[in-house]
Amino acid sequence: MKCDLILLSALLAGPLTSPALGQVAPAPTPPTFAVEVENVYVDAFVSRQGSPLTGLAASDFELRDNGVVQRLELAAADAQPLLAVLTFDMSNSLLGGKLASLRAASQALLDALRPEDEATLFCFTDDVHWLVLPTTDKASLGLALAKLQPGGGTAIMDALYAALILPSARSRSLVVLFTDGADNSSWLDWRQVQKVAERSNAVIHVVGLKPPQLMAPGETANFGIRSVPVESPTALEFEAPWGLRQVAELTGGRYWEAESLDRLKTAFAEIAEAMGKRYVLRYVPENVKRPGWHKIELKLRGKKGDVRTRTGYWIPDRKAPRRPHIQHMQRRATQRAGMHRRSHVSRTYEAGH
Amino acid sequence: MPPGPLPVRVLALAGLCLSLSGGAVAQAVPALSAEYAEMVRLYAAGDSTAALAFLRAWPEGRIREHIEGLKDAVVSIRKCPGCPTRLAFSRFPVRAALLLHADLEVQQQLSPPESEQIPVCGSGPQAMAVEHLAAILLLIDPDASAFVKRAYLGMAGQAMWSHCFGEAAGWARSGLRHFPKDPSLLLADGVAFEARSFFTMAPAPATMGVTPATLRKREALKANLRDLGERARQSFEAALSADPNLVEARLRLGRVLWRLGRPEPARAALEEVLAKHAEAPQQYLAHLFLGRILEERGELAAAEEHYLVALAMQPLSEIAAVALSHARFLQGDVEGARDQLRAGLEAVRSRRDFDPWMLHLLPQTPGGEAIMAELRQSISR
Repeated sequence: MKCDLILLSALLAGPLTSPALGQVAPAPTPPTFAVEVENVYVDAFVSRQGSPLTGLAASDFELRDNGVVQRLELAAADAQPLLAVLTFDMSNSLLGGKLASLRAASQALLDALRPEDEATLFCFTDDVHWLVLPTTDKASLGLALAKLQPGGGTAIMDALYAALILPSARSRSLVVLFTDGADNSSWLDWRQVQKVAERSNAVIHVVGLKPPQLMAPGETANFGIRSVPVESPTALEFEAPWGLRQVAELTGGRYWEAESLDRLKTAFAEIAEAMGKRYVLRYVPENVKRPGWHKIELKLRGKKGDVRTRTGYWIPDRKAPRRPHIQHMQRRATQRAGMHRRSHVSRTYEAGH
Repeated sequence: MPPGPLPVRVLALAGLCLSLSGGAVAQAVPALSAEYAEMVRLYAAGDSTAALAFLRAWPEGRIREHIEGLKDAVVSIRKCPGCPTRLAFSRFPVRAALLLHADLEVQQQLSPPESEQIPVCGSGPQAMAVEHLAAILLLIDPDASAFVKRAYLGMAGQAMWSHCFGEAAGWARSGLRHFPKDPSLLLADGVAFEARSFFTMAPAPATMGVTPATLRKREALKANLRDLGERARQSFEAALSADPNLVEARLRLGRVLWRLGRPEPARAALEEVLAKHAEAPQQYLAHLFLGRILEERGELAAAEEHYLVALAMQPLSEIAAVALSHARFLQGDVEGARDQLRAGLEAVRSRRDFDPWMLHLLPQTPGGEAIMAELRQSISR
C-alpha cells in the first residue's frame, strides 16, 4: 500500500524496524510506505518551569491515540533532518526598523540549524512568493533575506497554506511564520488552514510582533490601521491572531507574542532551541480505527513537566469516491470562461496599494 | 502665490468683476465677499493651487463666519426665492465654489492612501461649506442635480480611497439626503459599510477562562460587526430596488449575505450575477464566491468547477489558484493541490494589474478622484 497523502509522509512513514521499546531508533529514510503497517511520528516538547527537560526515555511518556494507549519508541530527533520553512510578512507595516530585526533574528535561527538541515523561504504581502527552494545552503537564504523589501498588504493564511503544502515532506517541517499585522487579503481563513495543518507533519510556530499601538478590538484595521492605544494586553483578543494560535498549537508549536523588536530574536532562538531538544516518538497505531481524525493525548509517566505536542493527525479514507476527471473539468471551465469578455483593470492606483 | 490676504489690486479687480456681474447684489450677501469671489474665480480659471492656498490661509474665525453666511443663505433662498440672495448666488460660480471647498476638505481631512499605515480621516469645516453650497445649488439651478450627485459620489470615493470608511459612508449619506433613491449613492453607502465590516478586526471567540466582562465586550463587538454587515445589506438591497440591473450591488449583496451566515440567498444573488452576463471581473468574483459557498456545503467538486472557471477567466490570479488548490487538497488530491498552487505563485509574478479580488476589498478606487477631475473639467468648459 502506498500512501498518497504526501503531507502525512512523516507521520505515516517506512516499514517498522521494531527496535526494542525505549531504545533510540535509527533515523527514518525518506518515506517508503509499508504495506499494512504505518508509523506515526510525534514531536514532543517537554519543559519544566520554562526550561527544556532532557534525558527522557520512551517509557517516560504515555500516549493515547483516540483514547487507546500505544506502544512507543523514541526516534533520534537529532538524527532526523529538519526543514525550516521561514514564512515572513513583507507588508508595508514592516517599513522601518522591523526588517533589520527580522533579518538578525532569522539569521540566528539559521545558524542554529545543523549542516544537513534544509531551509526554505516564503515571503508574503498580498501575494505569496516562494523565494528560496529547500536547500542546505543557508547562506543563500541570508542573501535573499538581505534583498527583501516591504510593500503591500498581508495575506497570512494563504502564505501559511503555501508553507504547509509546497515544500517536500521528506524532512520534518518546522514552519516559522512571522507577522506584525492582521490578515487583510487572504482568500483562506484560519479554519480552512487548520484543516490543512491537521493533515500535515509540520510543527508551526507563529511569531507575532505586537504593533506599538495595539488596536482596540473592533477598531478598523488592516489596510488602514486606525490604531488606538488601549490597555488590552494581548493581540490574542482578536480572532485573527487567536486563530493563528489555534493552528500553531494544534501542531505542537506555539504563538509567540513579541512585545518588542529585541524580543523577536529571543523568540526565534527559543524556537530553534525547542526543536533541538524535542523528542520524536514513534508508534504503530494499534486497536484504533484507521481513517479519519486521530486525537493524540500525551503525558509524562511519574514525572513532572509540561508536554506540548500536536493534538492529533489525520488518516485519509482510501475508499473515498474518485474525483471527476480533471481534464474534462478543465476543458469545460475554459469553455465557460471563454464566454465572458476579458477585461483588464488599470494599475494606475498602484501608489495607494 | 503665497497664502494670505488677497492683494489690493486683485481685490479691486474682483470688485470690478462683481460689479459687472451684479456685484452690488453679491455684496449684499455676506458669504459672497469680494475676496471669496476672487478665490473662486481663480479656481474656476484653473489656478486651483492659488485658490486653495488662499482659502487654507483663512483664520478659523473667518471660516466659521463664512460657513454661517452660507447656512443663512440656504435659509434665505428657501424662504424667499425672489430675494436678492438667490439672485446673487445665481450669478456666482457656485459649482466652482463647491469644488474648491471639496478639494480643501480632501487635503485637510483625508491622507493619501498607504496600505497598513495609519490613515488620517475626519470631517472638517470645508465639508460643511460643501453641504451648504450643494443645497444652494439645488435650490437655484434645476439642472444641477447630476453635478451635486456626482460630487457626493466623488467625495465618498475619495474617502474610500484614503481608507476612511466612516467618512465615505458619511458623504454617501449626505448625498442620499438629497437623492434618497439614487442607486449609485446607495451602492457607495453599502460599500463603505461592507469594507468597514471586512476590515474591522473581529474579537476572539468565547473560550474557557474568559472573564464575564471580556465576554460581554466581545459579544458587543460581534454585534457591532453584524450590524455593519446588515447596514451594507440594506443599502445593497435598496440600490437593487432602485436599479435591478446594478450588478455590482447584487454581487456585493451575495458576498455580504454569505458573511452574515445566509448561504442560500447569497447563492441565489451570485447565480443571478452570472445569469445577467456581467462584466468579466464581476463574473470572476461571482464564480469565486459561489465556489466558497459550495465548498462550505461540502460540494467540493462543484466548488472546484467554479474555481476552475474563475482561474480560466483570470489566469494570473493567485487567489483563484489558492482556492482551487485548497479545494483539491480537501478532496485528497495533494499532488494536484501542490501543482496548482506552485503554478499560481509562478503566474502571479507576471501580473501587471490588480486582481479584481483586491479591488473588491478596497472598492471604488480611485474612482473618487476621477469623478472630481471630471467635475472640474465641466466647470472650466
